[in-house]
Amino acid sequence: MVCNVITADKANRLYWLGRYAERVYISLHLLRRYCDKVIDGDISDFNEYYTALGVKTTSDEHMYNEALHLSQLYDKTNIYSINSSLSLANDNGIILRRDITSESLSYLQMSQVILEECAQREEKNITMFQPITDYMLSFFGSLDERVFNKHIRNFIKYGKLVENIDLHIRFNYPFYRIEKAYLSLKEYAQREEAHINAEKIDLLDKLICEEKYACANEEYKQEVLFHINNLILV
Amino acid sequence: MKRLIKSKESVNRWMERFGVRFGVYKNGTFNEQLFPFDSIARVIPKADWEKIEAGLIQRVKALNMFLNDIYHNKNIIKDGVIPKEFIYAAKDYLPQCEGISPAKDIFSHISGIDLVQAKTGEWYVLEDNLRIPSGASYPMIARTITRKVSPETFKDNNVADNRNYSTLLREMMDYVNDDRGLNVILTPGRYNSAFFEHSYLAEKSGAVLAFPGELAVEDDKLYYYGLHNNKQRVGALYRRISDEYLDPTSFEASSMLGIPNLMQAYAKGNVAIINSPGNGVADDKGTYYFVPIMIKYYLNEDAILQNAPTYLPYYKNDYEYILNNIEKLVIKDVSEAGGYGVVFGRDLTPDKLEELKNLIIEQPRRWIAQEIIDFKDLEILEDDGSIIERKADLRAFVISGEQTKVWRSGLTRYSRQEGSFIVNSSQGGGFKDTWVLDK
Repeated sequence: MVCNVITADKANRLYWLGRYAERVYISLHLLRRYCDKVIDGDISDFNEYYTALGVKTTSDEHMYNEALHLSQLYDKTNIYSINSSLSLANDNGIILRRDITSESLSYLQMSQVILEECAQREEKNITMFQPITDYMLSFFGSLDERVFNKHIRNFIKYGKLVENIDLHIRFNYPFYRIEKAYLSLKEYAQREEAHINAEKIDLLDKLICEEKYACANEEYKQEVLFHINNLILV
Repeated sequence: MKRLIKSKESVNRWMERFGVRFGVYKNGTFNEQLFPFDSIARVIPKADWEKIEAGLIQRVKALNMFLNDIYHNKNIIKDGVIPKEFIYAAKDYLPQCEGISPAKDIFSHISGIDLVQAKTGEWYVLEDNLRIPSGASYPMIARTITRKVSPETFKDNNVADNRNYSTLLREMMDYVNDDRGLNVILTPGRYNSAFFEHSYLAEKSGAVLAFPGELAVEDDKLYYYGLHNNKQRVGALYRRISDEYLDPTSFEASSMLGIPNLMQAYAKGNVAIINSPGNGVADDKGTYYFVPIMIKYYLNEDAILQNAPTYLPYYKNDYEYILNNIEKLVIKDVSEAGGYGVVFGRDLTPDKLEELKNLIIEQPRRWIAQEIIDFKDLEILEDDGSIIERKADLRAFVISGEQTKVWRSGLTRYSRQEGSFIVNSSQGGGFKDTWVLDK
């Protein structure tokens, strides 16, 4: 007999699995971007990265320092560190093995193994994390290939897209990037209407439009972030 | 096999990839670790296996008949075959199960029978596990991995494919479910030592993996509850929670893991529980002594597989023998499991021996004594490539559904300490795949 029921706890875990996995993927992309920026600029350019995430830097001058960089990679108490996000994705994934399949979960497990090896030697070279990026893409691809239950797919997608929009807004990405993710999220929302806060959709529709889009405006940014993070009812 | 051994590192990588782990609590802290796997498989020739298989089917059939008898007519007591003290004083005899007939009259759906092979080559049954025996998932995933890593090893040897455990499980669940609803595996949660197994078996058998709080009884039927009060009926519940925590209205009232009124739904025949509550009375270490006798009683056959020579202090002759020979026996506390409560007389100081004798004199029903079987040592591959020998047992799995079938594999557990007979994973043991040869 096929199970058509999805429990509240499972929906919540699927949503956060999507969020944390996407956070790992995008954070690595952003770290690579800032490493590249530093080539032509200054090491303090990294401060933009930390500021956007709301991470407190350790000196008044907001100067990049090695400890901060390591914390951003490995410190599990730093909620935006790669290690913290990956561990949380893994924790949810382990519980959801039955629904996401062992094969999909294995990409998270392999990423964790690589990260632990890098942490042991305090690896700072961001290119060493490329396999994790590859595994995260494989993870999402594997879900598409192997998971057929639409509710399970939808909740993971919600999480993934909410995180995608959240991070891209924090980093002032242009409107067309945000719009694409938002339209996709709305499409999924139509499939699971009961789990979406309709009021928030109305508000976001008014905010995420070309004429209103103003990421540089902190008030606007915080308003969008607030609504997007309260959109899914799980 | 040599090719497979050379691939040890690859195998371990795959184990990591699939997160083949088990949890251990130490000093109140939960730690998850990889289950040490040795790539040198235990090999069981076809002729040996045929005898083991026949013996296990016979044993489990008799144990199921015994459970049915104990919770109904009690003929085995009335006929004086087993003293009633061994039933009613057993820690896991449950009066709440009196008169309940489980679906299809099957009590032990999944039986984990622990065997050892003596140096003489003879196999002995060391223990019956009829409550929630665990461990099948490990050789199952190990085989999936070793077949990937070294396909030629399996092409050249006639090893029975063991990846059908989940099919056996599903067929059995479907049989007792009888189209009433979902097949569900109930796990206590992420921090249970066997959580990997719960989730892996759910995935491979297609059963729903449920956590405490996700199941509830309504009108004497069991349901799986989802968002917006959606619910779906459950027909078969493979619970990985022990009896005492299963239903707070029938057993331990403080249990947060259980399902209130589950026993009521079960008693009305509205849900099959796998394994049935109350089975502990049959895998009690005291009851073990009587299994060959119950085989004769119920099936009128001689036991194909022998017990390790066992003595019960309850009987006068055995009592005297134990007290006179305690230093050469292994003494087991019947209320303990997982390798705990097992004492080798030869390891005790004279004072401790005396203390143990006094405990046996005070509570003869609490103890059994066994001759120490010199297990056949198995070869283990060390990290440096050297080969050492360690004691090992075999947990065979018998699935009772429409038919009683023995899974053609098993969990071979080995001790990591030289000379130690304790193979339990909770005490640091590792595991091997078990190859049953087809030819």
